[in-house]
Amino acid sequence: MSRPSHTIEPEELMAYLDGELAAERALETASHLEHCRECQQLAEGLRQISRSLTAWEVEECDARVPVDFSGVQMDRKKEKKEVELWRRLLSVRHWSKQSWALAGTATALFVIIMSFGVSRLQPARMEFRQMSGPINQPPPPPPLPQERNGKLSGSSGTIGVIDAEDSLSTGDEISLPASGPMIVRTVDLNITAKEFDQARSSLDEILKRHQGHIGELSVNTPSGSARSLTAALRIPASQLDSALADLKRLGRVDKEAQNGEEVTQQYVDLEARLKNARNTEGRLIELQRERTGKLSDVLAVEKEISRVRGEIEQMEAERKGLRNRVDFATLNLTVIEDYKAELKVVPPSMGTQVRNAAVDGYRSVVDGLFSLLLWLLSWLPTLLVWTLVLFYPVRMGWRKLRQRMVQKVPEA
Amino acid sequence: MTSDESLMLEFQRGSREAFEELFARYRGPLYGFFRRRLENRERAEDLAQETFLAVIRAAQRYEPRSLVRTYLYGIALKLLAAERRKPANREAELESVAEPAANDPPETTLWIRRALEKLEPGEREVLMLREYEQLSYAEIAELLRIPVNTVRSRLFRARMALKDQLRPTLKLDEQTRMAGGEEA
Repeated sequence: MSRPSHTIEPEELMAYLDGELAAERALETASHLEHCRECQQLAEGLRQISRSLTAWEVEECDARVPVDFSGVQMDRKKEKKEVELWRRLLSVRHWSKQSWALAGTATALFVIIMSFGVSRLQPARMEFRQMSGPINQPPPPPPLPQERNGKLSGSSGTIGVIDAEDSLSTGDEISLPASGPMIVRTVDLNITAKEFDQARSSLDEILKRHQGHIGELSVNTPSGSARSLTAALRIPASQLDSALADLKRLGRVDKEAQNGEEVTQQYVDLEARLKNARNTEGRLIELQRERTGKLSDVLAVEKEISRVRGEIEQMEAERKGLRNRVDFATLNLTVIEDYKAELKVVPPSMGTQVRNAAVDGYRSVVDGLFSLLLWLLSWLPTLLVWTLVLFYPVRMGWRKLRQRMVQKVPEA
Repeated sequence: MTSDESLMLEFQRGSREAFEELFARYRGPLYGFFRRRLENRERAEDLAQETFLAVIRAAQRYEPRSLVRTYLYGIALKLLAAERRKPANREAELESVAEPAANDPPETTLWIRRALEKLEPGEREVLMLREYEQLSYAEIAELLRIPVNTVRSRLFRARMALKDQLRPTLKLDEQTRMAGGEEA
């Protein structure tokens, strides 16, 4: 509703009728209302609404004073007493000797019960720890794989026991690592060996003994400086500690760093995604077998099956890689030879010295000529230009000077 | 006439008469409050009683910071909200909107009820508190915890919406009044 000529808003008019407008504004509204026909209509409409609403009347209420009032008063007294009691109990200053004795006894009993409860709980907690593996300590190495036919089995039920193939093929539950977390272990070891060749051969023996293998190896043998060996070794996680101890005996340990990355969650996620993808593939194959619709639909199902299969293969490869990283720890080994520079004191022979001097003389002549040639090549163009520029002025000057000299001679 | 606040303070000091006076003053309005908002008459009576019971229990904690009237309707609003939260009552309320009870009230009342039901809940509550409980804008604002300006705007919107919905009733009233005038 457009009300350009109105100084009173409709809401203000309503508030005026309700007696909710400030006195000054109420006077203005009353004055406006006397002359404005539109506002009078609005006011009448609002009054009518209120009148019509009052038509909704409710019957008389039969309720009496709600309860036995004395009972309620009793409750109030009781409540008051309770409050007073609590206030007294909480106010330590008013405690009597008996109260202190009672509180002390209660506290002692509580402590005894709690300590007894904790001691009872302790074995259960230890048992739980044994079942689930240590929480804040580095995990023990996983057991040595006994069989490699798609199934790894551990000896002592620690970590690294993965039976994913079985778990995926049976039941809907996603298989978790049988016991404890899955840890990918990485070790960096730098050694300085006095006997480099011996260290190199010992390395092969150690790897053979601990069933490890070389992932990558390079040996540098520069002349006049120390030789070095850099290798990435893959050692069964269960054998890592003993292999590490053997490797440390190769020489002096300059640096050792160990890292353990937990991948349990990553593995479980991967398993779940793999399981879902396999279920999807199964459903799609079933759909393809049962439904014979349009060619485009069949092709779409084929395409989807192909896509899901690709995903499954990718995830299987990822899972295999993850399992491999858990089963085999990576040991980055660097062996540097303890190099001792040799002091050569034998002088060269006379012939060698003469020959060397002749060669040096020849080399200096050639070098001098070559330097002159280079100097000429670099400066000749500049010299030519300046010669051409200065030739005629210099010649003219010279001639004039000579003529003057000639004229002076007869006068003399 | 003793004010409500004085009566409440007297009741706090243990005066039974003061409470009975308060009960007499607010028994009807509180019953009307619940009766207009609930279908069940007995339940409305019970809740009115429960409001006074709550007053009795909390009398010691009463502080004369607001009017007794606002205090009472505050308790009533809380009881009503609790009542409406009960699933059985919610279903009954929905059914009652669809089908009126057997003992139907007069036609005008039905019109009003239906028109009020069509309003936004917030606007309806403001309107009902103003029209039936006769609360001021400030009291409504305090009860519903909204600004006074919001109360005013909601009230205006509610009345304008009601104006359209009650038009047939208003016309009927107009005709009745005119007929009454002619007869006179």
